[in-house]
Amino acid sequence: MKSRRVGLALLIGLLIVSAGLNLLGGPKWFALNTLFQSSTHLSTQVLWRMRIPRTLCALMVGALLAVSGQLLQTVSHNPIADPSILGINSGATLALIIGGVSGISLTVGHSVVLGLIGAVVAFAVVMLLSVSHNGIDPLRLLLGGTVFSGFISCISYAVSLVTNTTQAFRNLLIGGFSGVEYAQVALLAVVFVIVFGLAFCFCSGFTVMSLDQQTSRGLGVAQGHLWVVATLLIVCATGASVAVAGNIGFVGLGIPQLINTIWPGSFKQNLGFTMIGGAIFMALADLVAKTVIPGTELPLAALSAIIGGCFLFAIVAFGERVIRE
Amino acid sequence: MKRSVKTILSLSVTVLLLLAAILWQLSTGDIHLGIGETLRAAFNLAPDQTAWFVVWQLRMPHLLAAVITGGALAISGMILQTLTRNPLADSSILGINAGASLGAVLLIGASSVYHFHYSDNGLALVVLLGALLSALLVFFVNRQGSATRVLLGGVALTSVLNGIILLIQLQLNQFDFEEALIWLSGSFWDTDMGFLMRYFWLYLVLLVLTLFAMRLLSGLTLGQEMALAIGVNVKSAQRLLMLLAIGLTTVAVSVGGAISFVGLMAPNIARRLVGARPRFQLPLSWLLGTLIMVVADVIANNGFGKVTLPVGLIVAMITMPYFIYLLFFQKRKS
Repeated sequence: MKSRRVGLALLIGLLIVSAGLNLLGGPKWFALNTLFQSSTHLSTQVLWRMRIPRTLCALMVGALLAVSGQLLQTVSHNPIADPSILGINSGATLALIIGGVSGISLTVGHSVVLGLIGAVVAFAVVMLLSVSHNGIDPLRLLLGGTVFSGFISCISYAVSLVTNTTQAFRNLLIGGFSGVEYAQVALLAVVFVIVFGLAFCFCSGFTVMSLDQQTSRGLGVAQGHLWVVATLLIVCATGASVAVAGNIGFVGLGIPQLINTIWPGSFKQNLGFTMIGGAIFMALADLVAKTVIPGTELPLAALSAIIGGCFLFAIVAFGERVIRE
Repeated sequence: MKRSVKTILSLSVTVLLLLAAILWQLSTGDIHLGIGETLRAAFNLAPDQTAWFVVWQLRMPHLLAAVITGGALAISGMILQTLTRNPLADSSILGINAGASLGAVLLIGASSVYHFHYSDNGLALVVLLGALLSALLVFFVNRQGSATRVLLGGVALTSVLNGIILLIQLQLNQFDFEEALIWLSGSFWDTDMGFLMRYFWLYLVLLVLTLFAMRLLSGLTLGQEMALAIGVNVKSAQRLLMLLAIGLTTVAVSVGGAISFVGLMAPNIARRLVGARPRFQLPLSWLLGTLIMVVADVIANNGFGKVTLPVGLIVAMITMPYFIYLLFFQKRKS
């Protein structure tokens, strides 16, 4: 128990440090006291208007994605599950492209709604495809999801090619947090509160659900209801994240796994840890994206896909048990 | 229906459909030719000049490319599905397509940064290297012949490679970006007859080798123990078939870019029609793969008015509904 407390303190410390670094770092590094100067200074304005929303968004998106990954892994009994593998992200992207093409102005509110719709539809299709008589077949979920995700990306591209909007498509592919404002922060905050409120309310249920089906049914957990709640949470978290920051992988896959490796525990015990871990990762990844090459921003989507893929590859190549048969 | 009747019926219907599709492909386009005219031009029976030019110079290369990619992908898909014992495997799931694409994108990117011009053969070579490397990596995780690990390794590798591709792609200017994107979604990017013929011969050689390896494939369909019992050296058979699959994929990818889904769909459809008997499934997969590619090529070139879509996108759109249907119904059965 003691190691957990130390761990929590450590994580919170890291969270503060990485958030601070993310806030102050960028094409130009600022000193901390710039924040508290009078608001007439240009650099103070930059900090308050651009850097702070960006940092907040990164933290919340990281936390949301990490928790949705943990939920997905728990309820599908499958250590290798991630929203981006299952086509949820590409569903949201497709919805955004179709929306943009059909003339809906992509304001914050619109794009979040579109992202959510896309995420819901894609997730529903993948889930329907992989449910068989005895619950969800993990391998089928992954492969079906990968194939379906590829298919959706194809359609996105075809749509943008036919309507001559490959430039917009390119921007969507890049992803990342540049140019976020307080409107996005507010929106994410709402989603954040809903997701974490519900996750904490139902966390005992999810913990029991991670046991095998007979046991959890024996303990009196209504699987159906929990499934609905979990799906709702995953879709909300992913849809909002994609709408704000584009297609970001890895966080949902890697962070819960890492946390669980360092502090093995149940869903309930690790929920907070996962959340903070995701936020730390995202803050650092965003820092890397905006500082490594001066003058340009590396696409966060690509960075996260590379890190996540390497991680997954390592699990597959060296892990003891890859998938619950 | 009796099984043999069904087999014969599906084989012959597919052949007829393929012939019809080829005729359609040769006659449709900006310059429309009548059927008689097309046939006369195709068999060189005193055609008029325009028809001959259209058929042989404009449409035959596309047809040839479609035949190469469709057949090669279908057969490699079937081999991979047999090896991994999973109906959802194909070269794109195993990361081979992504490796090949990374090679191509690297070359396109490098040429725009360092201002050199690459030849099409150079591109094809890089593609080959990429495909081989990624296939090696994926099969590196194949300890104790665990098919699940191979599949998941492929998914992971695809993610990494796609990330790298995206990273490079976004550094390119808009023009190169679109070129890379078209390559990535699959299209017949070089329709020079000489270029295609070289690959065609390679394809024929691999095809003949696959026919020789049919016995091994039939053996492996029965499962490893049975295969051992009937005297198949499982290890070396797996290795040989794997090499064939990679070779075929590379040929297809070099000609048509990163086309996916054909290798997934054609063997699946074939298995539903004639069952898991390589003797019939192989030719039928080959026919179906070619059929899908030819039809997709016609639609890609003519279906969208002035815009020519990459053929790979059309393949995805044609085959995907069937794939979803398949997943639904397999589920009910099992």
